[in-house]
Amino acid sequence: MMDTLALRVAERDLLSPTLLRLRLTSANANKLPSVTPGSHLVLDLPVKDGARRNAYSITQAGKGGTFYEIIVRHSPTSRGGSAFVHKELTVDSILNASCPSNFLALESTAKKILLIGGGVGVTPLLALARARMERGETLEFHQFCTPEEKPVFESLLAPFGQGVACVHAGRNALDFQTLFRRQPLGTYIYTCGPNAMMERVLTEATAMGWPERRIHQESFGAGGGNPFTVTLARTGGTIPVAEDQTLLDALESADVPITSLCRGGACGMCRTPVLAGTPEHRDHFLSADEKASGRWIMPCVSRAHGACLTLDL
Amino acid sequence: MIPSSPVKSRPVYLPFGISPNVQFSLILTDKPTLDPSCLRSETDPDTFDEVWVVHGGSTILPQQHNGLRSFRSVSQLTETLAGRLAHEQMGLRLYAAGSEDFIWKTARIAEQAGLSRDEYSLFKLGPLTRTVMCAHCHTLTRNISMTLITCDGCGATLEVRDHFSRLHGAYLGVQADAETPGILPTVEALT
Repeated sequence: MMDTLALRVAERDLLSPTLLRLRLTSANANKLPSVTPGSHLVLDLPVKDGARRNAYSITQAGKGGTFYEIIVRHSPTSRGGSAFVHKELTVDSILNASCPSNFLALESTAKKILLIGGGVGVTPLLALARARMERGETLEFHQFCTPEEKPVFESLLAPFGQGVACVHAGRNALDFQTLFRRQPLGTYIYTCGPNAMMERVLTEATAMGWPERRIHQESFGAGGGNPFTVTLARTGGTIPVAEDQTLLDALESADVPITSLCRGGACGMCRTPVLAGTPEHRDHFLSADEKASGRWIMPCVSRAHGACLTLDL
Repeated sequence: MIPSSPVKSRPVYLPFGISPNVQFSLILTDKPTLDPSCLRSETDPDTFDEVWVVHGGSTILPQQHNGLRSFRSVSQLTETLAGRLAHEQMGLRLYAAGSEDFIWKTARIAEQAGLSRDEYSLFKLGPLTRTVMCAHCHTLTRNISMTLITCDGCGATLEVRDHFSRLHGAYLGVQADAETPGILPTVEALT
């Protein structure tokens, strides 16, 4: 299993009614592991009906392993994790986390990076943008949000300066074609936000001749879906998966041992064989052929077509 | 036809093909006998936005006419290319067709300008000759068609390997009788 870290909430800063910034330090005065920009942390959140493990991007890490900073959105469709962070965590609360990992690392050969964020998808992009800025490297940052939240995001993006960072209220406030057309050779796109937005970025850029490998995206789970039950073929037993719960959360709540890392369908650690039923794939890890075969599922993001699924667990 | 080799560094060139949906396409060639219009007619007359050709000859001026541009030498073309790519935008595709030496020179310029392997394509045209780099004195010997050569730089008898350097656009040449002095392998035609 992954090494776990004991963290203490050092600062708690409500940026808006639904956005909470936390500064986490080591609970036992150790140095925190160093992280690369784009890394995320999986927090163990002891909610009432079992444990939730949620992934949060590290927006900033202190020099010399002094702190990690994260921003957590309390969403009405929360699986319970973000509600717990907002309502239960106070300064000096202690919680466990897995060691950070990174699936959105910076391309070392990029001449420029173009960041496109939607809502709380701003979080990994903040770390990437800060790293580029500190090295004096070119970047351009566009952030989408609701009109009400524009001031909050403007203050988050203020360090990058006008002309580099821009906040857009509403999804049609920016013409992607014009934006993509004027990017110099050697530009990479990093996008994080609602799936529909990331899909639009990918579709429009590739239609204009951008290779797919120039577009990096990160999503942390695509919400819920229809409830279903999962049958464990080897150990026996059935586990219900609620509509607002991931399959991985359901398995973990039932103490089924399963290795996981990114919880976003990217790393492939939780890949599980399927014996019966049809998976509804939502990950970026399995190939198109593997998805079509229906023999594997990534329980961190994927669900079931139909009422049941049998796993080789 | 692609000769197979157990050496992984030996480039494999795919048949000529072009990417759809790009903003701007530029093809470069050092084969003036290759009529650019024949490249164009492979697909659509307007396939390439610009065609750059090394014609050779001191009277050639780098003038542009209907997207066709002539150059007096490879170095004139590559210098112009580096300057041009510095001002280009994403969505560009670069194609280079010609001798192995030439196409890998343009590949280096493309990489330095930020193009990734998905954004430039190389096509080898002409005879199966190689440029060979001497492992001992680093001199490049061009237009090689046999497996044993005399290095232009140090005069060593070199055995031509399949190992290819993308940086130098050349194959490795090693002292042919290094293991047993005086005993040379038989000479064969390169494939």
